[in-house]
Amino acid sequence: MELSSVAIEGVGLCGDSTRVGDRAFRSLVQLTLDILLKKKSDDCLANDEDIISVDNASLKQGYAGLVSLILEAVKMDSDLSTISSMLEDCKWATDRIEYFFKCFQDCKPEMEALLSRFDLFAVLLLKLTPEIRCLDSLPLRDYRKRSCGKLSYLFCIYIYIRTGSSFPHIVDVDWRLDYYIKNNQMEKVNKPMYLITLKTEESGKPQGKDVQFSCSMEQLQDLVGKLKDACKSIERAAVN
Amino acid sequence: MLLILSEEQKEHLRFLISLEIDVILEFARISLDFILKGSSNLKILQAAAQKLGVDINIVKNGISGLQHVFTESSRLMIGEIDFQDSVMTLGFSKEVISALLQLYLENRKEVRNILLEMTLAIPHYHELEWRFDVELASRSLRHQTNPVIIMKLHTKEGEKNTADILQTDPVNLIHLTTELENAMQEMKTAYCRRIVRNIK
Amino acid sequence: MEEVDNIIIHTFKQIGCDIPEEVSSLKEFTTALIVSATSKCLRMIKEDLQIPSVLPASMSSRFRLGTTLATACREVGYRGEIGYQTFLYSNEAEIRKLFMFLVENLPKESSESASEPLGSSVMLNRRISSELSKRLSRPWTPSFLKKNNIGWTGGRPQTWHREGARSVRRFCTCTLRIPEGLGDLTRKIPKDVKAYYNNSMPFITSQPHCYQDIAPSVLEENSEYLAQKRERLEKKIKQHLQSELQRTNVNAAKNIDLSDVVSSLSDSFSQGAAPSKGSRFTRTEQLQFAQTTEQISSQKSKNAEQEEIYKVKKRSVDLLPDAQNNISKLQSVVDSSAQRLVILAQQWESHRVPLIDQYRELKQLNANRVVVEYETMRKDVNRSAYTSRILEIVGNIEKQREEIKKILIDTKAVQKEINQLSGKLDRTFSVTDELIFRDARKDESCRKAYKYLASLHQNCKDLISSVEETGLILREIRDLEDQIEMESQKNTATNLERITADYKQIKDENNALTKKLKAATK
Repeated sequence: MELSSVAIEGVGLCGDSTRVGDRAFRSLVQLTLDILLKKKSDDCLANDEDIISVDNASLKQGYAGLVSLILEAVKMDSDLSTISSMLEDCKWATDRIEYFFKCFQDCKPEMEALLSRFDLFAVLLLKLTPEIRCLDSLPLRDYRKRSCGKLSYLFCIYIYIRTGSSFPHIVDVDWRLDYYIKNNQMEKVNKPMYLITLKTEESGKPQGKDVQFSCSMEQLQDLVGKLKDACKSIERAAVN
Repeated sequence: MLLILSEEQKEHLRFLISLEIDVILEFARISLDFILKGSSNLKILQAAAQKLGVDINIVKNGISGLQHVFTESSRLMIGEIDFQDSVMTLGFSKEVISALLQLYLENRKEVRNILLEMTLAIPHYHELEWRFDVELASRSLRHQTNPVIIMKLHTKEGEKNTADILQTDPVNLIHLTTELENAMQEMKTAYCRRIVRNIK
Repeated sequence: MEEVDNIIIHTFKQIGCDIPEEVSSLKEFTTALIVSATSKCLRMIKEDLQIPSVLPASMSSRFRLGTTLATACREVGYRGEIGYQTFLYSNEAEIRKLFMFLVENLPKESSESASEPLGSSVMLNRRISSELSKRLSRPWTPSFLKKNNIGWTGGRPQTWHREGARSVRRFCTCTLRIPEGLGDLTRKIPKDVKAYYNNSMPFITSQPHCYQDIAPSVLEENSEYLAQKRERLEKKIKQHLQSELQRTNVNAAKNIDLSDVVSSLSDSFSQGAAPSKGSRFTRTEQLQFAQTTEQISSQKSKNAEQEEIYKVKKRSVDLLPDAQNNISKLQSVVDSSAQRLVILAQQWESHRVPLIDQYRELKQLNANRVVVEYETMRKDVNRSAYTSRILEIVGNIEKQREEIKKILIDTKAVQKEINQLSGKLDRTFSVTDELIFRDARKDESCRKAYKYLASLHQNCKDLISSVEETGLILREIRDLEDQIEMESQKNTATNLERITADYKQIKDENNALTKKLKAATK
């Protein structure tokens, strides 16, 4: 883990007990985490009675350093010893380091969840349908042509660069069963007909578009079969 | 229920009666071909007209008349006897009638499928492809394990094919699967079966 | 017993006990080894049993350690007889019994996971499968019930699962402004800038337009800085390397000690290889170090140059009188120095080659070690070998039982025969006795014969009884021998010696303590 020199300086300010007193330090760490997690707004920093003792400019740089430290540590998944050696380099006292770790550990999963929502470059691990053992940058539409039905459980790792945000994410499904009797072109159709709506979510939109399609009994069987294949492969991957 | 034809159509078909049985059957085959494949090839018609020494329009009319007979009877699901009776009124010989009946029965299902496709306005399920990825790192988080199932849903709307790329996570995938399976099972319940029985 | 010992030692090695190679049976276990193995096992079985695995020097603490080990074993469920003496004055059988119990109670998984160092791909696979099984065990909930599409599982620490895309954002960044230089008191900040910092500049988290952009902006700011720094550093290193290379070439020509050149070269190479890792402090230190070495060597070369010049001048002054002669001499000197140059180049080469060889060798060695590790890992298959061995042993025991049965039947048959014969003897004796007794009244010789018969019978009886007695005694002797063996196995004598020695030591310690106490009270 590495921080910019300005951030290092800021972190150093936080550790300096002549600049930031013990009580101010504690409030600052707690508030910083809360603000990053959107539990509080940064007006609190200006209004906190402990922090008021800190010089405004130092507070701003120290706060910026702390924010960088926390975000970078979560991003790199740094272990405590790495962070600790960095903080020692910044001349933090042991009790401050310990207090910081306590608060940091409590919030780390939430911080990770927060950072997981940014979606751009991604290194992906693929679990593929058969024959393709090595694909460099095969477009999605070519998969089917090269593969057939059943799954092999080969892992294939490659770097996959996704541009733009994620695809619409299915979160629920609605279905309706009709009995199709006749239409203007035809008498006595007499077939069950399903109308299926996949509800999706899209990044940055309050409401994703619905994917709607109809299918006959046979088509639904085909669809369910393929979905079951996928479920089974995931279940098997979970057992391995 | 008998097939009801207009006088004009009867007139068109009358031309065929005079022909030999093989020629009639060839005409019937051509007309079914046109229904199933959807295009009328002028060359074939011209060749037929030359061979028979008649105007091309007469041949064309004859073919479209036969097409009408096949599509109408398929649309109405006309039974064997009704079909025979309907064609008999046009004046075809017995052999021709039985051969036409044979052709009709053979192709009825496909003709109906084509008719069905023509009527559907909503996109229709065609195929589903899927693959399973695990997101391991991203620009903002270098260490994560986020399983993602990416699906490509192909739908057909008439001639138009569309493909949606969608993604989901394991829990939602299982929910989706069980929900759709429930939908499938619904058709086998007593209630649905009773309705199906009563409608027939 | 050998097999059992092998299994026990193998297991101990697997859980990380440091057992010397030459130890092949429990008989050879020293007290220290026993104590360390037991405490390791106990730790594996129950994590909170943290008993020191190193034998202390003082006798009383040894005794205490033995007692704690014994109570811990009993706590874990060992039913046999156990006390401090089991560890400190061990005998083979007891220790074997204890170790068998401990090995059986070792948690299965931990012994496996300890035996194989996990590769990163295995770890990745495990991570994925554990994540998947966590996901699959979650019930489905509608998306609007999940804040930010995140589902949580487990107690503390919780794990998060992303189940939707509503909250996913693009990685949008904006420039951030941060006050600079407040940590450095010596640096003067202009008043207006300071006023800007104090009054107008917003907090870093208030600067992006929306909350979502805070994290990306901060991270990007940092990584941009790092990228710039890396670029600068790479440039510096490149320059440095180039100058170093040139200089070393010059040095080589000026016949400065070749090993120096090689080492400085390797120095500069190691500096070239290092910057991808290590903190910024080590980097600056390295750079400084390189600079000082550079200075030193440049000074050296200057010195050498000047010395050379001085020598040449002195020589030429010396040689002036006999110019003709000396010129030819000089010619030869020049020739020889040219030759020396060639030799030096060879020498350089000869220094370089072993270094490269060494590098290759090390690489090879590394590869070999990996192979060896791999092979040792494979030895885990021992389990099946052991089971087959056990089956073999069971088969052997079966065979032995059959033989014992046969022998029993034989003995029974012999017993039967003996009984039959003795019965026959009794009967024949009584018959002959009667017959001869009847005739004895009439015939003198018969009377004699009767007497002889009686004495013969008596003597035979005595003989038989003494034979029986010998048998009995033999059996007793065998029993006693067994007992002796058992006792000697407990090596009481040596243990007794040790105990007395230890007792003395304790006494000494006590004495010392009382002395100290006395001194203290005085």
